[in-house]
Amino acid sequence: MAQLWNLLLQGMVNSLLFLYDVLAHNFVLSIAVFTVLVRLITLPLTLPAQRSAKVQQELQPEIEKIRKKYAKDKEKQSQEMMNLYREKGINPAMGCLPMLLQLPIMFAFYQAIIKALANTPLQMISLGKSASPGLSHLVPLGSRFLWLDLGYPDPTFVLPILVVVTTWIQQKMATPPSTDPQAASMTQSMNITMPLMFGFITMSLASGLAVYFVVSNLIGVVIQYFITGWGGLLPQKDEKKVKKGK
Amino acid sequence: MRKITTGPKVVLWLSIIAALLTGCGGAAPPTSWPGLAVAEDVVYLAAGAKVHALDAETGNPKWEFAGEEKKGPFYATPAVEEGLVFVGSNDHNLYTLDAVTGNQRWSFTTKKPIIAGPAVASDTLYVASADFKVYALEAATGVGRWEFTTGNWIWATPLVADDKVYVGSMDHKMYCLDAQSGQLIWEFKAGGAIAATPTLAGGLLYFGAFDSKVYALDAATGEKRWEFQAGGWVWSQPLVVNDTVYVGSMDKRVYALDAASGQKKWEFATNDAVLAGPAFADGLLYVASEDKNLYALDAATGQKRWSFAAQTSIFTPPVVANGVVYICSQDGRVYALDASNGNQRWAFPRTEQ
Repeated sequence: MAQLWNLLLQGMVNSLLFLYDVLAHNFVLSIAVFTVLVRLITLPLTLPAQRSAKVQQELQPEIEKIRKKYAKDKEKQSQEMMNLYREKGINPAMGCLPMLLQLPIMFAFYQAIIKALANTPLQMISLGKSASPGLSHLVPLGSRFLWLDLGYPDPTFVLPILVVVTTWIQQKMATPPSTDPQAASMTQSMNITMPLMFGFITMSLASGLAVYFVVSNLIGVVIQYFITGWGGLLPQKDEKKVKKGK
Repeated sequence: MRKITTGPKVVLWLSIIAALLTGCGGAAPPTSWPGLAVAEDVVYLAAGAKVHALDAETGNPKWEFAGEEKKGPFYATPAVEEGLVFVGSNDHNLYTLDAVTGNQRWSFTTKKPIIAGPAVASDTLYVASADFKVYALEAATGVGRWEFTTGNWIWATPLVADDKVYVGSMDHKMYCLDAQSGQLIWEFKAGGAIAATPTLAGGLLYFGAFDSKVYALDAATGEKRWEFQAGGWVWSQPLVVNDTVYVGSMDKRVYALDAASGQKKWEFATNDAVLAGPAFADGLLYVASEDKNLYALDAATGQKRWSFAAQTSIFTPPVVANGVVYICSQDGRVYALDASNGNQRWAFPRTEQ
């Protein structure tokens, strides 16, 4: 298993180095292009979850009806909901599976960027063991881009702010509006804390990773737009739709 | 429905955040690459965020000095001269300490971490930094004399000889500077980054690079005389004894090369990368490996005489003095071994970080 992981990591590191070589030695570009490639490769894993979210969003009026109809009989309520999912061909638990499947790829990509941006001797040793001889001449990667040294945190906090904003937009779009107060409260809390946490993380990590987060989020926003439109980003419209459905 | 899906998603996202914060390597503070020097019967160790002075005979601590711990550890080998210990730190500072007491005399701050060891010659201290620059300072006071800017980080300790400063940079170039003025005399571009300290012998300058090559240049002109292709990056400082160049590589081997032609005489395979420059005494070559072992080899044939296993990997070059070989492993532990048979004389406990 560890060997498989190292193989995946090594492949990603060398892919990043190769892109860096062909993209005018611009690591921001190579991160962006590689992020696009990774998102495209993992699209078959992420699309079902996003589509499922859309269907669930469309089912909200019917779910709400069941919830109210069987408010006093939780068992019956649950049974009816499951019947509805079965009827519509949805497995709610499956919504998480694509996320689980893409996690290793996301972690490997994250580690590959860290490895490629080696800025300490020990990180460089690790890179030296992963980089193929034909790409070793590229090391160390040109880590400067605009005001950034990609191997170090962004001193201006511009990138962490962009991470917060893009994470919030993507999450807001992907989250269906909820009529259940408890779920709505949890979702609202997540929509605020998650972007802030990602922003906080990027404040202390290499700014190259912040570039990855921003690009990845922007791609996520585009994909989400084609599936659900602006989704939860436009709450008033969605609420009207929900009311009409009732 | 929403109760079913939101919970697991929250858990998943929180696990992602936890992994980003704790795993994945990026957020972890850099680990030290201990530096070891021996002078006047004292072992100077820069490991973790501290500098230690140990009695070379017993290993008993004499004093210790703490850098700015939060900003990171020491990577650089200390230099000792005229009762002063000079050591660069990841916290961007070059510290000058009293060799007897460990008290700080002065410090000099650069803009980036100091990975390279300093060099001292003729009352001048040469400090190379990851801020791309080489600084020449008055050794007694730290007053600046000149500075020279390269095209990338400098991780290699400068070499000062014959009134010239030779320094390799991660911009792939080896620079030869006038030691008095800092003026560029010549530069040579290798096929990869240079993190290894060069060695000067018989008018030739020897060094390794990340293109997996060992280079020999004419020290006066910078013209290439020969190159040797190893199987991995060459980070180790070459050692020249008589007519042989000994150098380690990340291909797990140490090579013995003819100093004049670069022809391979022999090679010895360890089980992991050889990052440390070898040491020599009384016909034995001491080679430290990432595989945790110190190997004592017959310098003429490459045959193993004995080996000593430390508890962790060894990146730090061994130092031989007065029949004792001193090594330091990555856990900051110093071992004093009998140079002839590898028997342990003492060990200094794990350094607190």
